[in-house]
Amino acid sequence: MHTIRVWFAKRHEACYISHLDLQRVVQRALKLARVPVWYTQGFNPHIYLTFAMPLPLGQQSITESFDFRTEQERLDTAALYWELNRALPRGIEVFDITPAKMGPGQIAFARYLIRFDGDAQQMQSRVEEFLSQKEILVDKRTKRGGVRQMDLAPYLGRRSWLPGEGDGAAVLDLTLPAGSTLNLNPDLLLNALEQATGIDPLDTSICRTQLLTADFKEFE
Amino acid sequence: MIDKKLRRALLAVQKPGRYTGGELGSVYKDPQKMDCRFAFCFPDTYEVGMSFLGMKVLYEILNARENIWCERAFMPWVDMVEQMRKLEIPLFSIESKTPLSQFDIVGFTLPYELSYSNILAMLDLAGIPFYAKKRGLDQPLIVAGGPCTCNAEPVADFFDAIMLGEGEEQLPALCDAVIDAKRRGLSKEELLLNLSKIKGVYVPSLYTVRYNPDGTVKHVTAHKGAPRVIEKAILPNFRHQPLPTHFTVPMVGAVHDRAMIEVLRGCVRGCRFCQAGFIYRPMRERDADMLNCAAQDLCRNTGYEEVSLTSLSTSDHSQLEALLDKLLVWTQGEHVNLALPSLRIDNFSESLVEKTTRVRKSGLTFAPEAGTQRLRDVINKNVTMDEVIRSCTLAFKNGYTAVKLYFMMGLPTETMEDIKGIADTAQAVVDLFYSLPEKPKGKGVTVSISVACFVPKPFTPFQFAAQDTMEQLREKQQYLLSCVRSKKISVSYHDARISFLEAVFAKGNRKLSKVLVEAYRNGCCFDGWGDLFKFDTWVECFKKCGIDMAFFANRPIPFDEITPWEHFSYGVDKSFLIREYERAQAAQPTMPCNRQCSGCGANKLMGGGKCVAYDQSVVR
Repeated sequence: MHTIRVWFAKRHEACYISHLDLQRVVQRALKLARVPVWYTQGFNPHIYLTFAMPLPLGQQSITESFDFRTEQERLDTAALYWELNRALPRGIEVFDITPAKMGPGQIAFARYLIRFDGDAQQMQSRVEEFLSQKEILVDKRTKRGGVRQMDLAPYLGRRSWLPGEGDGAAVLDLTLPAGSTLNLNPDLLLNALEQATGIDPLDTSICRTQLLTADFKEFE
Repeated sequence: MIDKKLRRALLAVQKPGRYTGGELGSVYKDPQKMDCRFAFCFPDTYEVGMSFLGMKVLYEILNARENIWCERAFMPWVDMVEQMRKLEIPLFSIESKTPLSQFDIVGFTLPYELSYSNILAMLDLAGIPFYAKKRGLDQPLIVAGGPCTCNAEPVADFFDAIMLGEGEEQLPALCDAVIDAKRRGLSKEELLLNLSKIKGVYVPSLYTVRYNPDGTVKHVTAHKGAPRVIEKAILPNFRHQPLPTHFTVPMVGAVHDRAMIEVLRGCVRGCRFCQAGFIYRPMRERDADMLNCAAQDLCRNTGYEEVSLTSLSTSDHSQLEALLDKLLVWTQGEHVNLALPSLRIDNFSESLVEKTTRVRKSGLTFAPEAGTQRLRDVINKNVTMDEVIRSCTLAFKNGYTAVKLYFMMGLPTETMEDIKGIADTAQAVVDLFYSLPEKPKGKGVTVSISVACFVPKPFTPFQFAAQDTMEQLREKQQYLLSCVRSKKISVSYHDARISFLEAVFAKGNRKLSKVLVEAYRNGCCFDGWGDLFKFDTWVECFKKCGIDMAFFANRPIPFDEITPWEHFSYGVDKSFLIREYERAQAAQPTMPCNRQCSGCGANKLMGGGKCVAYDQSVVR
């Protein structure tokens, strides 16, 4: 049995497909592309399918992945690439198919590009001023459904600004904890930013660009 | 394509995927190269609309044309309506997000009477005036098709043209007339005249309706050469009419989210309450090989895990078992389930059960419709208690433990004895289960009975009948509950108020358009959605407009009265409907078309002679 990891981007209209709906979309696509997937052997056989890191609704990503299993020794990944892309909706694009080397549990960080529309320099200094505070308190929902107050400031160290390209936006490259131990949705930060500065989250867009392990190696 | 305003709305609503399009199978074209842009509107939510086969058929046919782009629009859910109003986002097509007002043609399907208020809501959200006479060439042409057009009079004032019958050839013809009018710079009047010449196209503004002092129709006059009677459009060769094989696959779960192949159209049975059974006559089958190929193509193009053999009565297809054998050759290997939603009790055979249960077992549904043999003869549902028992025996022996039985109440000639019969029928099925030595081990049985309120519909023999009043229906519902003794039987029934309003609009006339506008202005929409239904508001609006609801719903129609739908023809003669109504009063059943022709007149639609169905050599 081999576990195959399919890497894809989720953009444009596809940002509004929920995780649950995405699972069904991918199952159908695998079927449609006639991928020799392994079905679970239970009473109600279905495709074995896992996603590394569900993406919050409305965000874009160029580093999504899902895993399926196959008993086939050799897989024609080039053909699969074309077939899968033909079978997926607009905005979801497969860009690579690899063996799964790491388990999703090894993911510890996610890297994002966050784009702030407006005058690049002015935006950058407004946001930077907010990010450099000693303490940024936000309410985070816990897994049990409660709300817990936490400080974001200690987690914002890995950030840099992309050189301006003069297209009316400042672009922040930010790495945040992600995965099962601590997961920080950049929406949390943007909502806090809005409260503090009035910058509208709709004047920003978030794109996940990389998943990293605890020692900052790229998730493979 | 998704601008900031829309993003804001999408992030504030539930299931934003309902509004964003882009699904597999959705069609995108270059708007600059189009001669005609068509917005196909479904007056209910995305989930309901995406289950509707008619939309899939016409979407594929229109988009097969190089110069036409057909896009979709649905009624946004209440949270989205609120956002769109707040942010001033006009209703848009989900493919290109183009406002509806910028289309050449906006076409609504009329799936059920209780969606009429949603049509007004959609026009309003799009900023398009309701009344056809208030719209010039600067506005899109607003048209309608679908089942309810057989009495479209209550909504006639809103539409420029209404299409009766089968749309596969008629709708492209309508688009061509619009393209021609654009090219030649015709006025709206000239365009409408041209549309009235297309088979089955009804241009309401070319007809005036006069009324008698008692509120009944005196006469309907056609103007400017429009046909006096509009006869429905019908396909010349249904047997070989291609099926859609590229469904748009919804990502937000549709109600019926599966591949569908329409195996036959029309129905041979002639159940006297069933509108579909009369307006789609004559019954025509598709070729089994063609169906099998289409099913396979459709599954391979969509990735669906289930294919449903859809029709009014699938087991009446003369080649059904052969078709199932062909399908079973490939469905299991491709992990595809088979579903047969419209089985009849009387020809539910052993091999059929076996073939459909090879992949997965679920509940079975039967529709005896009435609780006693006498009443089943009245409605011409030619099913006997023996057949119910035989089919359930078969089902139980094959491992089924849940049976759902559909009934109606408020049927013509019905007495309390018939209501008790519903409970007795369910009890007999429960008793049967426990009497069988071969019953599934260690499991109990559940018999669910679902009881709808009878709604008399145009173009059925029961169009002349009055609906029971809401009080009568409620009394019968209570009596039924008192008759059920077993805990294995669960009873559900329809809200009598909803059925009452449905009857009013089903048999309504043009005067109802102003009530619709009034009700919409007072917040009515999503009337079919129980919890959003505002019955008291409806009653007030009718009162305010001076229109008596009971006049339409609870009054029997004399045979010689001119009905609001008298100027439409679905091929079935009124004299036949009268004959059938009289046979119903005498509890005399009528044979299905494939056993004996009863001369309904629908054969004339196909140029006379015998209907295809009557010719069929395989008769059950």
